Amino acid sequence: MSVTTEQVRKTLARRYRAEKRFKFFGICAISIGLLALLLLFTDIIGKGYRAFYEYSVSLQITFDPETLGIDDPRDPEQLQYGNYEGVVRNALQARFPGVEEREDKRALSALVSTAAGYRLRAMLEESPELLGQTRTLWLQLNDDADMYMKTSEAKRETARLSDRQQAWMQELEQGNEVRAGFNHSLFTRGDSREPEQAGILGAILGSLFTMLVTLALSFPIGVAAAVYLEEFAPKNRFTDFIEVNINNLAAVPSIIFGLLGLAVFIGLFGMPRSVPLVGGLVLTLMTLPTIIISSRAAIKAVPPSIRQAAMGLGASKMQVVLQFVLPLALPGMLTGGIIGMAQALGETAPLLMIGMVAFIVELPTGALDAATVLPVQVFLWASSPEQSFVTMTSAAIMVLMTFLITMNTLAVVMRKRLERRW
Amino acid sequence: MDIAEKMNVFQDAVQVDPRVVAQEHMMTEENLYIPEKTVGAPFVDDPKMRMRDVNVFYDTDQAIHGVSLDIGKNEVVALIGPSGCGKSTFLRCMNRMNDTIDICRVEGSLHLENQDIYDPKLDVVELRARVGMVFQKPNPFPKSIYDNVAYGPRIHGLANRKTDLDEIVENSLRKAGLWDEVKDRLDSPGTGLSGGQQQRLCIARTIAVSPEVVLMDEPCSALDPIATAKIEELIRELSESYTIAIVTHSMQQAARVSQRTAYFHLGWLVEMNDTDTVFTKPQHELTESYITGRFG
Amino acid sequence: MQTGQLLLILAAMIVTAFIMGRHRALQVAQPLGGIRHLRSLPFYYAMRSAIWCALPALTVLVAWLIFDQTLIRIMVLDSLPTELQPVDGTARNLMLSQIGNVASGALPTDFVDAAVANAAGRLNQLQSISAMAMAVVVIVLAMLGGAWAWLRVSARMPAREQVERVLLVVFMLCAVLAVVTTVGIVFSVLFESIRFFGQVPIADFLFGLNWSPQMALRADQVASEGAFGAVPLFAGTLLISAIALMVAVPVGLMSAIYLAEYAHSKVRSFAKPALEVLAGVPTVVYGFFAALTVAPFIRDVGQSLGLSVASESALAAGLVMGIMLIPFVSSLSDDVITAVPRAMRDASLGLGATRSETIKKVIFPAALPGIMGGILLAASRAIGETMIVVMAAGLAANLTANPLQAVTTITVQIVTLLTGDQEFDSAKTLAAFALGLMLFITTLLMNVVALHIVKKYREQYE
Ligand SMILES: Nc1ncnc2c1ncn2[C@@H]1O[C@H](COP(=O)(O)OP(=O)(O)OP(=O)(O)O)[C@@H](O)[C@H]1O
Ligand SMILES: [Mg+2]
Repeated sequence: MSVTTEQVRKTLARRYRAEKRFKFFGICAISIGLLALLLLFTDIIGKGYRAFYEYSVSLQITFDPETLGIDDPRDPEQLQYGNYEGVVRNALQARFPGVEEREDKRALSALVSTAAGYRLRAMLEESPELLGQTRTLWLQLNDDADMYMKTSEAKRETARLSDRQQAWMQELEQGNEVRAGFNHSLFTRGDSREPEQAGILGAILGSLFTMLVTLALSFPIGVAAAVYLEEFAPKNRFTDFIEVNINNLAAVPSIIFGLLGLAVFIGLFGMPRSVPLVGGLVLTLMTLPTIIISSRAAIKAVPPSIRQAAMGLGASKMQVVLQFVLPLALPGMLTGGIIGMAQALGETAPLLMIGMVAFIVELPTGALDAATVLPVQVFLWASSPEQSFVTMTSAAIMVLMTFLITMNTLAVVMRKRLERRW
Repeated sequence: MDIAEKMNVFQDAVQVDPRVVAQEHMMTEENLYIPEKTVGAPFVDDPKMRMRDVNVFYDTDQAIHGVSLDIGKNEVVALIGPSGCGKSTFLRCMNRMNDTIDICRVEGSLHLENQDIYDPKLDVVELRARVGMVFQKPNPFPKSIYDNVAYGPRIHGLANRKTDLDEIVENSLRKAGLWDEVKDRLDSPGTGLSGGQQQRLCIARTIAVSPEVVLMDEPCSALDPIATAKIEELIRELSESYTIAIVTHSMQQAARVSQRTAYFHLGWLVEMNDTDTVFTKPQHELTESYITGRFG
Repeated sequence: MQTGQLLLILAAMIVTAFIMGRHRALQVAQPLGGIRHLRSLPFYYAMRSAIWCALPALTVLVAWLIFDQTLIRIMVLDSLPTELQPVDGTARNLMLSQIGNVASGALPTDFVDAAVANAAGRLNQLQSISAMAMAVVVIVLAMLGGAWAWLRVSARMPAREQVERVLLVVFMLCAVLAVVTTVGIVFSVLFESIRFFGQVPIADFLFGLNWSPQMALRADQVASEGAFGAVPLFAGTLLISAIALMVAVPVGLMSAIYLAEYAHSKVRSFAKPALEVLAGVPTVVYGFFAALTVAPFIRDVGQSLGLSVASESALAAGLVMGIMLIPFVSSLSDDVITAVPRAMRDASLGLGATRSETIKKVIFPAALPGIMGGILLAASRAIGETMIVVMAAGLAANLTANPLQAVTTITVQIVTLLTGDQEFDSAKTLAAFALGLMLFITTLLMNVVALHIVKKYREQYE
């Protein structure tokens, strides 16, 4: 055996220990990453799934003209000022006749959401003949009572209900007078101070309008810029300067774009605050570098032979680019576009700067209505103290993540398709 | 369609005894069949390395078919053959560099002296310290000349003191014929040398761990004639203390540096014999066609 | 007339111009013996007409929309009697919003000065005049442009060349937008910052140890000493970023190495996209996670160990930010590691080095410049990251290196200063822009250096 072999053998044990250690660190690193992902998702889903259903209580509602103060249900004036809460209160008291104290009465009626009143009014408006009649209705619970129902037996002590309220809820539960159902208001309403009446539709619409503006601007501009830089730009200092600019903009913190929006669009141009139009403009500037960079890559990937063939037929450079190169590069550009849109959809900070952080109940109807967007809604709700809002926040995150994952999957699928073609 | 391609086509189509197939299909112009047994004298007494029935697969493609040959002590063996015939693949089996390719699978028995190279209990680190390798393109590390040569001794713990290491480095560089050219700039980066110098640096780096066998995969293909001549000179000198297997595309080079030559064709070892014999009196049609430059 | 309606009308006019231009080209071609005799295809004549109809009108429209509010404001303010003329920026904004409220009917006229009521009337009047004038000018321009193009159609006119030239200019303008954006950023933060430094000395801002912008709310205390010392913010930003990098760099780097060098292809095909999902999670989600899950957890753990941990500790924000950066670091590292040529790996393995020795002694040093570039990019991200710190880090400007205490960061303060009710000119608002300027300069420098390093590194192995 040679001297080398002997000496190498002596070191082997130590070196393999180092090898194992190193590999172990690698496994740890991967596990930390994956664990964080798992933790994040289970945490959010664990907190949020309960927002997708809600509890309602069955009550015998009498549309008593006297309590309501309505004698003609066809008169809008009367309808508007009807005392619907009183009707609900009466129904609750009829269910729990023992409750006498004023304080208790108030606590009792607090179990039912104020949304119940709006519902009764809507019913009465639709079918005026209900006046004076009695119906068994399932009415939405208030968020605290709802939360109480959603918590497991063991943890109910911590619920925000008084002991008496808890007793009533238990009685209702045993009598099968409460039931769970799909939380429609989550998807059909705007923001609200009452968790059980708040929904994310307003934010979704705001996001939609913002994204429409962003898409309509950033995709064509990004593609045009990419076409110019890749196909037409002369190789000179200025072109280099543009490129450096694009690469740097891609790494500028998003909040800086918010400052730009605030100073230029709102301060200088006098555009209104809180509107999707301005949000879209800011996000356009923010996503533009991403779209330009990926569009350029897509144009680069088009084989030069195609260009030469078309040129050989006597087409002008512009014709070649528009008629041959662009269609071939389009899928790649769309992939980049989707990724850019996903990035814009999840963005929050710049929108805070331009005031899209307001409390807005009405559903926006266009890009010039004050609105908020999904991530900002998450931010707003996350700072609310109510337990129900934590649930709602998680639910909003789940919806947002669903959109984002769908978009990213779409981009991945398109990229795979593309790879197969060339 | 050239002949190599033609053979590829039918190789793919049929997996039976190639000799039969060759006779059936290839009798057209020339009698180019692949022999069932290697022609010539592939074996020697008391070999340094002994390979028997080696098959190598890349996934499902077989790159080496039942190759058996010996490499004698302090002998230079040249592996020649047309491009893609599996020379590199075979060479890389000998120090298990093929392990680094996921899809590569090696069958058969390969021994270094009495040690089974593919014994699962054998340690590749130790094996590679004993069987060094020089690659086609000079690949110095982006480190100083000194650190390049000292890399092997350092990781293997061959020098306990700085002076020992200095000595190893100097000796290796001397053996590689590079010492006089670089002794004043041992701290400058190895990548800053010329191509020929880089390749000699790589050789010095390999012999710094005092291997028993040195495998060289076309060590001169990226170099000019003068640098090539230097390396060939070096190989001749090294053969006094090392066993060397060298892959080359240049038949002149094989003739100049090697004692024995093996001719590979499409993954088969067609002929192996003394270098003189192979180049002057090839016994097989394929070898002759290759040597006379009819294909390659 | 609403802008939307105007746009619709304009679109209709452009389509008409297109159709008429095409028609006219065909007409011109007919006596000559078919479109072969035209210099360009009819399509290009049509496009040319459409462009002539659209471009001037659209340019004016956009410029009008951008500048009319500013001009109207100036005119309205000018119409005020001298004694009501606002003296400074704040008063000017107050006056403008008052007039605006009266004009929109939100504020009854009898609550305000008659002059203000007049000004409100004038504002309304100007608004409607402006809208009308804009519509008229735009439509007339579109008609003129379209008509001119229509008249000029002739067989020898190089319509295609002209259209292509216009398109090229439009494409170029799109590319130049990147430069315009940068310039816009620089100016928007620079101008307000200069105004801020007019009120607060720049040295106080850069080196002051006390940050409490709320104090400056009282007029006599604007620029009162020490209120705008940004050092605690810089320190807080650094602390949180450092924690984040301490998590992200080792974990991201080691994951990249493990995935590239060790992992079975099955593990890789699962773990890589999984890590990419982590990169796609919006930062507001990380913020929520940090504030509601990680921070309380750390506080509880700390309490059980007898440590006092702030409920908005720097540690929580930093940890979660680190998680956010893991995929970023790992994908950048993966790029540079796989860029190290295979020959390096083979050389080392061929000498009998183990995998980890090869990685540590050959690949890592070779990839180091690229990795440093990647880390620098990650650091710039950490510094500019907003939502995680807004939600999970505190507002109190503590100057501390203790990760268990609450600190605040540059981005947190920008958001705090600029959200909620604000006057555009107060020192508070301007301070946000000065912070923005600092943030922009820092990240810009880091990005330029990082991109340069990474580019150099790529070239080395190309
Ligand atoms: N990493 C690999 N994966 C798959 N197939 C491979 C791989 N390396 C080599 N092969 C295949 O194995 C066969 C032999 O290749 P090898 O590199 O050994 O040829 P060679 O004789 O060294 O050729 P050359 O003279 O051109 O270097 C070829 O058909 C090649 O395509
Ligand atoms: Mg080879």
